[in-house]
Order: sequence, then C-alpha cells, then structure tokens
Amino acid sequence: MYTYDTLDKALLNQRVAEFREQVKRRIAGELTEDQFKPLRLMNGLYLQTHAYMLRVAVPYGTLSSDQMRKFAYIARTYDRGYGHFTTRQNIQFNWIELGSTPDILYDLSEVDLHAIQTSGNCIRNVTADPFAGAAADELDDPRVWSEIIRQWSTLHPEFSFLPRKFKIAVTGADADRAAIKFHDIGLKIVRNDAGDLGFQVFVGGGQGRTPFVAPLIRPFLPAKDILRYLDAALRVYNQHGRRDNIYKARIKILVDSLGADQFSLDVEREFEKLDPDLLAVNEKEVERIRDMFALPYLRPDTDAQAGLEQAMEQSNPLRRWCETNTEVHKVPGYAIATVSLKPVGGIPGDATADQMDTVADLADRYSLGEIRVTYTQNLVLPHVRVADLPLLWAALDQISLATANAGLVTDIIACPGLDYCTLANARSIPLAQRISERFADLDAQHNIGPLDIRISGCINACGHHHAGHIGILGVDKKGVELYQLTLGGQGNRDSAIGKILGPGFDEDGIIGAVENVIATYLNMRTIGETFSETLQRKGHSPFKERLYDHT
Amino acid sequence: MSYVISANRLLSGSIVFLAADERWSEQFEDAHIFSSDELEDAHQIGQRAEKCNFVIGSYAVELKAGTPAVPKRLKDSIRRTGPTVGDHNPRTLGGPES
Repeated sequence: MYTYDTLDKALLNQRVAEFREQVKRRIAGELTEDQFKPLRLMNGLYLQTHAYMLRVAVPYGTLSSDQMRKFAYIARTYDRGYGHFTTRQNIQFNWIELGSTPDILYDLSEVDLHAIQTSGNCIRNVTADPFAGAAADELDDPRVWSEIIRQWSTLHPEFSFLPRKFKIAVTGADADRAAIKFHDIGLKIVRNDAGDLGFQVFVGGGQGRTPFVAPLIRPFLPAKDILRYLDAALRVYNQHGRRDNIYKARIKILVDSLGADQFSLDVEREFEKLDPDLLAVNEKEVERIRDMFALPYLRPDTDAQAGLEQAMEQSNPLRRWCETNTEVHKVPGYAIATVSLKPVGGIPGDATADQMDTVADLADRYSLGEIRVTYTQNLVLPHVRVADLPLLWAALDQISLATANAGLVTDIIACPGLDYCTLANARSIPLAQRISERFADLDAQHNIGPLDIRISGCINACGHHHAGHIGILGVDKKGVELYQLTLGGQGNRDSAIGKILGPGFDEDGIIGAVENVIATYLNMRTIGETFSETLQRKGHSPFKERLYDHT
Repeated sequence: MSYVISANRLLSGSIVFLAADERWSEQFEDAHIFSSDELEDAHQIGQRAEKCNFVIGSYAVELKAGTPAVPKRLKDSIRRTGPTVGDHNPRTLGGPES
C-alpha cells in the first residue's frame, strides 16, 4: 500500500486548514454562495437534493483496512450510518452538514485520504483495475503508474481549469476491468517487441450525451515518457477544447472533430516541444512506489483447491459464491474475492458503517489488510488464501455481503438518480431493486449467466448505461419518468456502445421489457452461449420484435 | 397556477419551505402558497434570505391544481418526502436558522 510522505501530508493539512477558513468565512457571510461554491466543489462538497454530499477519492480504487474503518467512522459520526460506493471507485456521503466538513476532511487526512479533485474541471481521481497487484493476467501493477499520475496531476496549475472534467484510467491486464476506453484517457500497460514496458494510449472515450469508445492514438509509449505525453495531450486539449458549450467541452468531442490521426499528430508535436528530461519519470521514484505496492512473499499452495472442493461439496451456496465471486490470483493457492454490494432488493453500492468495519476486519484477517473498490460498485478482497474462502464466505454471509452474483443479472450498476441527484431526470435505484427482486432466484441467475444491467437517471450516464449489455436510461417526458432500453454495450476489452431498441417504457413497462429481453435470449441461445454472444449472433431484431410487436 | 418557495438551509443543507412571515420551515405543510401574480415578490423574499445566508438555491415549486397542495414534479415530491428508497426521512438535523 502506498503511504503519503511528509510532502503529501503537509499538502493535506494545508488544504484542510484552508477549507476550514473558507467555511468559516462562508458561515460568517464574508463569502457569497457564488464565491464559495467553486471552493467547496474543489473539496468534493456538492449540494444535492436533500443535503450536502461529500465525495471522497479512493485512490485508484485501493483502500487499507484502516482507511475503510475511517469511512465507517465518518458514516456513523457525520452521516446516517452508511456510505455509497460510486462508479468511479469513490465513496459519497449523502447527508453531510457544511459545518462538519472541515472536521471530516481532517479525519480523512489522518489516513491519507481526501476529497481533492473529486469535482471541478480538473484531472479527477485516477481509476484502475480493482484486481491490480493480484490478477494472474496482469503485466504490471497499474497502481504504480496511477500513483505517479496522481502526484503529477494533484493541484497541477496548468490543468486545474480545463474546459471540462478529465478522467484517466489505467489497466495492467489485457482483460479490461477498468473500462479504460470509456475514459478521457485510457492507459493499457504493454511490452513492445524488445520487452520494454510502456503504454497503449487511448484518448477521447466517454459516455454522457455523446458516447465514444476511445480510439488508440499511441500504440506504444515508453513508460518513462508517460507524464510528458499526458502533459502534451492535456495541453492540446486545454488549448483547443471548446469552452463555449458545456456539452461539447470534453476531449472526446475534440478528438472526434479533429479525427484521431490529427489529434495524435497534434499531441506528438506538443510532445516533441516538451523537455524530455524535465518530465521523465524518475526510475528511483518508480521503484520506491513499486516497493510500497509489492506483495509480501506468499507461499504457493497447490493443494488448497482440493480442500475447497471438499468444502463446496458440503455447501452449494459456497460453491455458487466461489464460482461467481472469486477469481484466479497470481499466486497459486490464493484467490481474489468480490464482496457484492448488491443484495437482492438493496441499493447498489451502499454499505453500512457496521458492514464497512467488518469488511475492514476481514481484510486484516484474510487479505493482508487490503480492500478494493470496483467501478461496478462492489468491494474486493484481493489476497485471500483459497483455504480461507469458506471462512470468509461465512463471515460475509453474517453481514449480508455474500450474495453470489458478481457479473450476473442482479449485479446492477445504478447511479443515485432522482432520489438523490439534482441533475437526474428519473429514478434509477428503484428500478435496480425491482429487477434484482424479479431475478432474485440464484439458480435462475446462474442459468442466465454473465449479464450487465446498467441504469442511469439522466444522460450524464453515471450509471454507465451505454456500456451495459442491457442499458436503461431514465428521461423526463412531460413530467413522467420514461426509460429507454439499449442493448449491446460492453465496458471491457471489446468496449461497445449499446443501441437504443425502440420507444421508451414507463416504470412497470421497463421491468417487463427487461424480463422479455432475457426470456428472448434464453429461447435463442445455444449451449454455453452468453447474452452478448447471442446478441452478436442474432442482432437486435428478435429482441425488438418481442418487445414491440406485442405492445 | 400556484407555487411554494423551497431552498436548502446553508448550514445543514436541509430542505426548507418559505412559510408565512418569511420564516423557513422544514414542513411542506407550513409553506405559504403563492399565486402566479405573487411569484415575483416570493422570489425576492427567497433572494433576500440567500443574501442573509439563511438558505441557498431558492426556487419556485409548481403545485398541482386542487387541494391539498402537492408538488407537480416528482423531483419536488422527493424533496418533500425524502428518497423513495432506503429508510430516510427528509433531513431535519438543522436547527432554526431564521
């Protein structure tokens, strides 16, 4: 785990003191709301529908057990006893008071956490593969490079007032678990033919009103040049990105209007102008950071699987959970365990303070004190001995976090929607709850197989509906919630944008429509064929006919 | 058409409604109902309260025709009664600020 040095800690302390003073001046009336709003947003404090909301960064989705305990403490002390994990690997507290915020930020700083750059037109919290440092298919640990980018981008004076917000994601594995092609910049760690470490650079992806899958603009960038190249790309965006229209201000619009080839040329030109030595990544610094993330020696245990098989024979629920919620670890005898925050009928991404405390304890007992947050709104314990999986599963079951549904139909991504968000046009969470209740039967879920349902309450697409196998977008039609259905999106290595199937549905209608889509798939699939594969083979027409020919 | 004026308290963020005598109440039922003709004056009361730093983001909530008074838009209904999910009432932690 990375721990902050004296420079980082001094920065956080100064920031807390500065914001404390700003809040004091606001309450005293020395700052107007117009003056104060940009200052509070720079510290992650939004005014949402019911109260202030504080968004706290989870750096590249990695948390220590102590950091998770701090979230539990904040939820219990300053909020209503729970927190909401978001689709950007962050956490949001929904019921915060203005006057408490400086104290919360101080408490967070004690464990190297903060809310800096969780809002505003700046480079936001860098996201990464939640299986980083544990995945068997990983080429290099993306957290090392994410941390380097964090240091470079934190309070970067040139990039603090960009045309719009800017999101960077990093993966070190071929299987993309960070949806990098739906980011302003997506970085994939690769090696060239000579064996040198570097990046494939994808620029101009995003969802929202105008979704794009990011094109590849640099097939191989030497790792040492990453900051110089990012600097060049951001500089081109800062100079040429539109500031006259908020809906056309993201880098994806610039890349699309210039074309990927021209944008790439512009970046290369800027790249050549920048001093290679000034922004070269220092190898010693890379090694210092790498050492902090390095796994301690874990003794491989090739016999562990046999023991687990025996335990699974005794318990079908354990078997199901292991099938869906565990992944292969780089060390034989260890596993990566997904802790589902999607209980049937629950609110996707919500965790109570008690659950957070228990997950922290379980991380200490079973996962070297490490926890990850996924953009799919779940938690991960990345380093669990296979032999401990039955004990972990039983402990998670005690706190209702052992739902065996990772990647299945009830593992639904949903934004806060109209229930909490001032931007939303329709509710998202109740739909997620109803769909999850409809498909609650685990046998049915496992029979359906891998299926991503993603729900957004407005076109800003925080619920990633464009990237869902089944995407649902809530809109407001003359004061009534209406839901559009899209099919065929993907947020993985083969990222794709879903296509709208037809006219929208009301709340009851959309639940029926999802049922019909799934029933159509089950009728058409061949043995072992997933929903995505069936959709690719048969196209949208059979689904459209089923939904609209009978309505 | 008729309206009430809503806002959030500066300190707590609680949702409040403009009642008679320019008080701000957390109870929708206390809200003073304004006609279209009175709306401009109502907005000015809201803006004055914002300048005094009691509340932020004051705006007019359109009501459905008829009685009892209920908001026309779902968003405003949710502001009145709290999220439709979970077990959360509207925030009432804020003490009197006005």
